[in-house]
Amino acid sequence: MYLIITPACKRSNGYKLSLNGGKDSCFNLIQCASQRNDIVALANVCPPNGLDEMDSQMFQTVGHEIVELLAEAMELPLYRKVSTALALSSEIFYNPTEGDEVEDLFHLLSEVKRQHPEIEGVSVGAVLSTYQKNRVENVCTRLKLVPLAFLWQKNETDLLNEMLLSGLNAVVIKVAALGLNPSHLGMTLKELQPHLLEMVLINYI
Amino acid sequence: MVNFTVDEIRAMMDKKRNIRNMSVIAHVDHGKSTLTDSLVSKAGIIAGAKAGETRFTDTRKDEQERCITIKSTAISMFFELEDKDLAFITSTEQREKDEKGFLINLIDSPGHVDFSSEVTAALRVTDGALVVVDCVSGVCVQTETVLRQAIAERIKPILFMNKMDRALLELQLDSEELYQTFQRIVENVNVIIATYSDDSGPMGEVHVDPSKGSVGFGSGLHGWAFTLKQFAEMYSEKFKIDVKKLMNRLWGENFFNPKTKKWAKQKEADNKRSFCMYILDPIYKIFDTIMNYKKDEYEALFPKLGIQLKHEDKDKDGKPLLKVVMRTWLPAGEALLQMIAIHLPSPVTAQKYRMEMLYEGPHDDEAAIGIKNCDPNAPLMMYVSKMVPTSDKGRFYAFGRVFSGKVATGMKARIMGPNYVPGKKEDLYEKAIQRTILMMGRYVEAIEDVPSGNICGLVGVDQFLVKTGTITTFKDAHNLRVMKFSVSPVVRVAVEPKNPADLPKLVEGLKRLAKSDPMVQCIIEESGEHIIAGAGELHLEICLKDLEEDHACIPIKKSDPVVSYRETVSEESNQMCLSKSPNKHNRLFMKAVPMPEGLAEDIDEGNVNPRDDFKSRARYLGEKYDYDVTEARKIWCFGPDGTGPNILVDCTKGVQYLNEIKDSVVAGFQWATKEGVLSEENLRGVRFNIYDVTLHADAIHRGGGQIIPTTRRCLYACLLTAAPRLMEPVYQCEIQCPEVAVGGIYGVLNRRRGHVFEEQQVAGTPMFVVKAYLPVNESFGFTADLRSNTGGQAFPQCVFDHWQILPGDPLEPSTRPFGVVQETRKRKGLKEGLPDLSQYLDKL
Repeated sequence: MYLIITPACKRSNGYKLSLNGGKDSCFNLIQCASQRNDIVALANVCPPNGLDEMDSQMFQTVGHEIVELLAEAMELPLYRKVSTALALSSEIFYNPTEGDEVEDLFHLLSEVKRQHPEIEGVSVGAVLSTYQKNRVENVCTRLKLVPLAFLWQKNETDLLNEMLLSGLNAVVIKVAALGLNPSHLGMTLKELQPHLLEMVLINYI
Repeated sequence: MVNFTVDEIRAMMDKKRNIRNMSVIAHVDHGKSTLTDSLVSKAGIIAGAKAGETRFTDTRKDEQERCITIKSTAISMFFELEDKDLAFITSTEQREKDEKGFLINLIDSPGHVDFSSEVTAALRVTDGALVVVDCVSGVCVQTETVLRQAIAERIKPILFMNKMDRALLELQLDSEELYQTFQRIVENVNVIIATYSDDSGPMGEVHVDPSKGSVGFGSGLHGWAFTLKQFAEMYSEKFKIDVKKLMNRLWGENFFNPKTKKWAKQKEADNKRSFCMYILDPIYKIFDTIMNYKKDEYEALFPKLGIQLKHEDKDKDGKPLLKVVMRTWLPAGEALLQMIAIHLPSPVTAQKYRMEMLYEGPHDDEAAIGIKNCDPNAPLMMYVSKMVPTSDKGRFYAFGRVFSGKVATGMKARIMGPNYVPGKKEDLYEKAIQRTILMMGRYVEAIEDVPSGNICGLVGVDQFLVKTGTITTFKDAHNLRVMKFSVSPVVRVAVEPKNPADLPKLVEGLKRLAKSDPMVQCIIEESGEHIIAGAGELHLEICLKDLEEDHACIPIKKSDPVVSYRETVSEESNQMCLSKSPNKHNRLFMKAVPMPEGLAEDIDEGNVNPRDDFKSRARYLGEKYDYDVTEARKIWCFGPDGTGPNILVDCTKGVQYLNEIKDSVVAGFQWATKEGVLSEENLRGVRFNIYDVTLHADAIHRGGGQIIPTTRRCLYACLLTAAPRLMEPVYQCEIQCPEVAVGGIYGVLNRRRGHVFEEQQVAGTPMFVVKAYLPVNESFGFTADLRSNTGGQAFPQCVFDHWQILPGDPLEPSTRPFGVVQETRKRKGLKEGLPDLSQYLDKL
């Protein structure tokens, strides 16, 4: 899920922000806002209708329905693009390749930029994935935008703490790692925190 | 008995060349403990006045009642060789100059197969073994098992033919027949020895030879014994032949003609085998005259043989007189102790060649050299082989052998459990040794310190070790190798307290039980059941009794015994199995194939193992099992536990980042092989091939959290698509009985899915030996059933032999394996029904 948030007001530094992923994206968005950036719009690459889950290496696909509600709540315009493409250039650095899923992001952001020429930056919620960061950077450079990733390379335990302290309330809708199982679905991040810390201790994650 | 103070014993301990650490091993009922008694009564070191009790080494009440040994027991003995006998010890490493006394540490071990683990523990701390064989029954299954283990541990054997009195009195064999029986037993023993070692190996000459004096004959019950040496000494003056030369003449194809006074190599009309003539004939004569009450004849005989009876014994006749006469003429203790001192290695000799078998670390570090030289000034290296319960409930003495350095009361040492890895903190404690003690049968004595080459007990270590471990003062020391048991815990029962409130006591009791027995396993299933796993019915019975009476001290309910199974496959997977990681960014492509016949056993026995050089291992697999050598070089690991009989082979070509995920794949493999897909039993005999792997370019997306569960899922899919099967354990069963009872045995075996593969008469006796394979699952109550069907004349000895496929498809309801799987799942608290392939297999 990609949320593109653009500055709504020109008074500030005037960045437009793009966010990656659910809780990380939102948290990065909050960070952006607190740095006096204005959020102009949301953008999201989503799977074709009826498909919930795709093997994308870039985009979160589970729970994409929520993005609309998010936009509604924030009273911001939402731009979406349906992607069916897969990763063609799967090396750690991205070479623009026609038909790659990253090109969908490129087209989506170009569209957003045409509609909102005032955008300056994209908020990205990437924490540790160099792969995703490289791709967003690639797209942004081509569109002359600045990627904003406030969470980049943060200590995960600290980050989790900060999120909970900030009052962010996230609910687990997908599990995809050893140590987490379907019984954890529906729990809030706060409820899950002790378990996650234990997992960190025994090196599962 | 020798009355020694602790200081005197301690002084002996320093004379390491005069120490003999030995175990007594044999088949059940071949008379080990009785024989040991005759040694102890002659030379046992006692600190009190407890002499004269029978079966000194059977310390437990149930041992005395059942007349079997359950736990191995150590005792120390002191024995002085005469000057003429000292000449037989030629090596300078076998005795200290100017010291005639020998300190013999003897461990009496159980003969019943169910307690083989005790034997294993005994062998580890000793250097030599006295193998006792009942000359009427000959070499039996357990004789072979323990002898094989002894040779594998590089323990030098000597042989004793026991129960000669029975051969003479009950079987009435004539002397030539008896010689043939002896000859056959010696050959049988040497065949076993030769199978597992040869005389050119590091141990030097291993086989036993009567003419060298390493074979004894006699009767433990009557307390008499001899080797050829004793007789050679009697005759050497008469013949004017050197004792050693005469010993050679007294065995084998040597015949003497009394008329011409000539020796010959062949049997002729008027000559006689020297062994029969000079050794057996006098013995026969004594037996004959005394048992037939020919008072004049035997009284004339005594002075000739130099037998002087005590006044009070002169009035006896018949069997009691026979005992006294034989005991006076050929005292068992003397002959055996000479054999032990002359033929068994001292720690100095033995540790030279045992070091490489014992030590896991580099063979040239301080610890290795200390062990090799048995150096009391090197860093301490001690192996704890078992835990012995103290009179204080819940506490244990750690019993073991000091291989190098000295262990002393109060010294600080590193206590390393079997899972310790050098450089890591796991399973490692640095603590002070509370006390070192001497353990002698039923009694313990505190001692200041114990130098290398000796056996002793430690107080206070039991809190840090579960069953076994290494104790050292050397910071960089590796572990002493853990013991390999010849039997596996294949029979299990679930236990629960009769009164639910006693659960904590049960849990504590199980912990203690696990400590007190070298092999028993106490497991908690996911369902919350407490499981005890042992080698056989008798083993479990004793364990449960101990648990109830000594360890938990509460009434216990137990389930019917069940056996553990293994999961395997019978075909290659019918499709390439793909599993995706939870984040969908990584894919594994694998297949399962059954191993060729024999490979799983080769891995069990260590002929193929993870520590082999990968090139020579690949060559071996290529030659013996037709494996592709390039693939065989890329065996990633064995499992479960890194050593089990399943392998993971990398058959991929040019996959990027593959090495980075190797550890995670291996972890997933260990998990899946430990808990199979059908009922979470161990896997056996399965080879997994990795054909392709696609990985996310970014390391953060292909960590252990992603790869480990994916590997497990993929392996499960491989298993389910490769016609999975269950394997059940099978005993090899040896049954001795008279001919009339053979029919009854067949009936019982047939009802229990057993089949006979060998039946033969024991040469020279009316007894038959029937050998059969019997599924362990059918063995419960087998002994009782057999006895009732043969009028109590047949006695089985069952020892775990191999795993065998349980016919039928476990995925097909109504088959037997299906039922077993469901029962096991239920017991373990797993979801009932069959595992669903779609849970493990993903689509492209």
